[in-house]
Parts: sequence; structure tokens; C-alpha cells
Amino acid sequence: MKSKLLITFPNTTGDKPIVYNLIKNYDLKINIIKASFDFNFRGSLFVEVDGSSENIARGLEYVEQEGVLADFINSTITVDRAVCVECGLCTSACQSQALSLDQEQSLVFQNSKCIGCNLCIKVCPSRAISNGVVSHES
Amino acid sequence: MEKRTYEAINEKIRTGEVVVVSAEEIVDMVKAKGIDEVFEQVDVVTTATFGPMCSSGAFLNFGHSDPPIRMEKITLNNVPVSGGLAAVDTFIGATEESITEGYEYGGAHVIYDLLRGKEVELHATGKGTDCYPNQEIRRKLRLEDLNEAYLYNPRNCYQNYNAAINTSNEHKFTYMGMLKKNRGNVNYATTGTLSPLLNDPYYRTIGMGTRIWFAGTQGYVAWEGTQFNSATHRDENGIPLGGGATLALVGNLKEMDPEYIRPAVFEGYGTSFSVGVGIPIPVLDKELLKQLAVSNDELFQNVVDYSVPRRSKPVVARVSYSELRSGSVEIDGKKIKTAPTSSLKKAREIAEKLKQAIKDGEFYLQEPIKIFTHNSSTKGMRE
Ligand code: SF4
Ligand code: SF4
Ligand code: SF4
Ligand code: SF4
Repeated sequence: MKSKLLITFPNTTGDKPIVYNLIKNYDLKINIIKASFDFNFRGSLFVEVDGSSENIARGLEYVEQEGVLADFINSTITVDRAVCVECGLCTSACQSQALSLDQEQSLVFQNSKCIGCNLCIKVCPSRAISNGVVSHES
Repeated sequence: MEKRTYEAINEKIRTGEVVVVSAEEIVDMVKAKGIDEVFEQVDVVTTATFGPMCSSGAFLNFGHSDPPIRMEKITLNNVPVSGGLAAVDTFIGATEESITEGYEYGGAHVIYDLLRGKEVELHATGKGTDCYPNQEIRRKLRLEDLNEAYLYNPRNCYQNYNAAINTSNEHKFTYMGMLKKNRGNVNYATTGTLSPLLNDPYYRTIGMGTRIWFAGTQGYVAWEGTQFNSATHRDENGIPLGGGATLALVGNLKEMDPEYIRPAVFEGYGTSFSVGVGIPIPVLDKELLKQLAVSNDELFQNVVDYSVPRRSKPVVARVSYSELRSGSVEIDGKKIKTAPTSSLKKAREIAEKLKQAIKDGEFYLQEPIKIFTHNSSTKGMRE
């Protein structure tokens, strides 16, 4: 099972190898999509976690014991293909490479990389991107 | 053979023997076979573009109501349109914003809705005259209810343009999209080697009266576009360093395909319009073929700093179109992500469609009736 998690660190945990422990003790594959920290080790990690649902649950329990906040993120965006003109401008907004143009210059959206920042929604000139279910009147 | 004429090409279109390739394909062909051999083979090269251009709009005639009204203040779906023409004529500008919805619904959206067969609400008032006694009217109209409806874009197909960057420390919202602070990204607007006026930089075949593929129908170059700047500085390939020439285009809205005409909204800026344009270039001689064979690594754009709120903005770097298309450029040692505002995918589709129309004998080439001026330069506003 793959899940996306936003892990927020208060500044008291800087010395603990939390991500290392998650990988080692709970057999989780962790792919860091985005990290932002200040000099006091306060900050957040946006990660994709791959592992059995049991291990993910136990890992979360461990993280919370350490005083770290972890939230599942299921926000994602939808590109309405009937409206999109495949200009590629939305890729300028996307920091996590979830939106990209392929060799054929077609727009590719990789849900697993999306951090749900919603920046692309306002950048798309065709208004083809929404963060809910598409309801496009034709 | 030294020269090819329009008549000879049109004769080949008639007999189905014409050889047409796209402006992307011609680059590789010339690389592989050389100018002489390709000149013997290829008659026509198709160019295309699909990107936002604010200077777009449509002339409409509503027909007369009974009793008639001389429309003075007019809105369509709450978007103000010109009341400055005859009683029931109007011009609707693409960037005009809705009174109620702002730039999320503008003139471009009204034109697009008409094209999609939707009903659009007309509201008009007039002072009432002896010959036009009616003072107010509300009607729901569809495109098919109108007499004439033609797209007229005073400026399209910029010969070359800028790429945009932002060196300030706050995000900027522009008609080139969102420009992130501290040189966060570079956005650019051209289809490069497919772009019409980059393939005929001295306007030998693109002039007034040239027949074009215009959003799915056959339209024409009506005039020099506004801000026509032919007397510009050029590089060794004859390509303008900055803007260069532009085209005024006209075509029948009723025949257009909504796939190739789309409203665009730029956050913090306003409404714009993307209209697909394809222009065939006859391979008249080897000189012209050399221009057609210029490749993306020989086409350059200035990267301009959009954080400077002045008419002329500083040039930060000069990069090739292939670098821009690769997804990132390096400027002063920093790798910066690039993104286009124009759709190369759609432009390719258009170049293909035009190619097919010529091969199928549906599209003949029209020689310009008048050649553009070569010494025109764009002025700023008088102080
Ligand atoms: S910006 Fe909008 S129209 Fe352009 S490629 Fe992205 S989703 Fe499609
Ligand atoms: S929501 Fe954010 S991360 Fe997701 S595709 Fe859009 S810009 Fe990229
Ligand atoms: S702002 Fe861009 S799209 Fe609008 S008219 Fe100028 S060049 Fe064209
Ligand atoms: S009222 Fe007369 S001048 Fe005015 S548009 Fe009609 S015909 Fe022309």
C-alpha cells in the first residue's frame, strides 16, 4: 500500500533519526517528495510511504509517540482532458514534478508525486485543473 | 529547377501531386539530404502556432428586432461589447471582462460559448430615435441566429517574442504566467521552428491576402498586425532579436472548430485568447528553403526580467529554443525550469491538418496581394 504523508517536526526532535527508524524498524519504503526545514530543525517532510498497511499504522504510532505530527494527504488534482490544451504552463507551478510534458509534448500527471499544493489550479489558463471531482459542463 | 511559382504549386494541388511537409520535418530532411535535393522534392512547408494572444476579437451583427433599436450600451453574458458601430453591429474584444465575474469570464469566453452552440444573453439599450424607437432589449442568441460573425485579430503570430523571468524577491503574475521570485522559473511563448514568421522572416510569402488555416477554417492575413516592427535588429539568420512582425487575421467564426480556439485566463492579469493558426509557405527558391531549414538550436529568444515595471525591460540572457524546450536553461550558473505558454502539441496537429488539406486539394495557396513594409518600427506612447 502506498500513502502520502505530511510529517511535521517540532524543534525538539532534531536529534532523533525518525525517518531512519521508520525504514529500519517498520520496513517502510520512504520516498521524500519535498522537505523544508529551518535552522532549528523545525519543518516538514512530504513523503510517499510504501509498505503493508499494518506496518504503516505501527510506524505512525511510533512517530506520534516521538511527538511528531503525521497526516495522511489524499488531496490530488484532476486535469479535465477535454479542456486542457496541453500548453504545459502548469508545469511551471509544480515543484514536485507531478505535472510534466513528455517527449510527444503531451501533459503527464503523476498522482503519486502530487503534494496537493493547488498552485497549478490558478496557473492553468484553460482552467482545466480542479481539486475535486470534475464537473465540466459541455 | 531554380524557382517554383504559386501557379505550379496550385496546379500540383489540383492534380494531387503536391509534396507538403511540416516546418519540423523540413529541418531533418535538409540535414539529411541537403538544400538542392530537398528543393527539387518539396513544394510546400506548413507552419503553425497555438498560443494566447490578447489582441483578438470578433465582429458580430445581431439582425434587427421589431421595433428596431439602435444599440448604444451592449453586453453579452454580462461582458461589455462595443456600442460604437452601427445599430446592431458590435465588436467584442477577447480581453473585456465580465461585469459580475471579472476576468474568469471575458470576451474570449463569450466567443467560445457562441462557437460551442450555446445561447448567449444580449442586453442592449439605446436612447431611442425616430427610426430606431426601441430603447432596451434582452434576447438569447446563438451563433446561428446572427447574420455575420467573423473573428478579427488585430495582432497574432508574433514573429519572435521574449522568454520571461523574475529577478525580484516576490512572485509576479503576468501574461506570461506565474513568475516565481528569485529567478524561480522561465516561461516562453513560441512554437520555435514551427512558428510561421520565423520561417519567412522577410515576409516574402506571408503578406496581405495570404490564405491561412484559421481555427479550422480558411482565413486570410488582413493587414500588418499592430505593433508591426519589421525594421528591427536581426541575427545572422534574419530572425528578429525581439518582437518583429505581427499579423492581423480574419476568418468566419461560424466555420471554426472549438478545438482550436480557446479562452485563456492568466491569474492576476486577465482574459486572453488562444487561436490556432497554420500558414503554408511555398518553397519558391533555395533562399527560402534555407530559412525554412533553420533549426531550434539556431532560434534564440531573449530572457527578459518581468519584475522591472517599465516598458523596456532588461535582458537577462539569450537562450536557444531547444534549450527552452528541454525543460530547463542555465543562467549565470543556475539551472532554471522552463515552461511554455503555447501548445506545441496543438501546433503540430494544426501543421498536420493544413498539410492534409493541401494534399486533399481543399486548400490552395494565395500569393500576397500586397507585401508588408520592411521599414516599420513600433513607437512607444508620446510623452
Ligand atoms: S496549464 Fe492547463 S491547459 Fe496547459 S497543459 Fe496544464 S492543464 Fe493543460
Ligand atoms: S497540486 Fe501542486 S503538486 Fe499537485 S500537481 Fe498541482 S502544482 Fe503539482
Ligand atoms: S500581452 Fe502577450 S498575448 Fe497579450 S497582446 Fe501582448 S503579446 Fe499578445
Ligand atoms: S443607419 Fe444607415 S448609416 Fe447607419 S448603419 Fe444603417 S444603413 Fe448604415
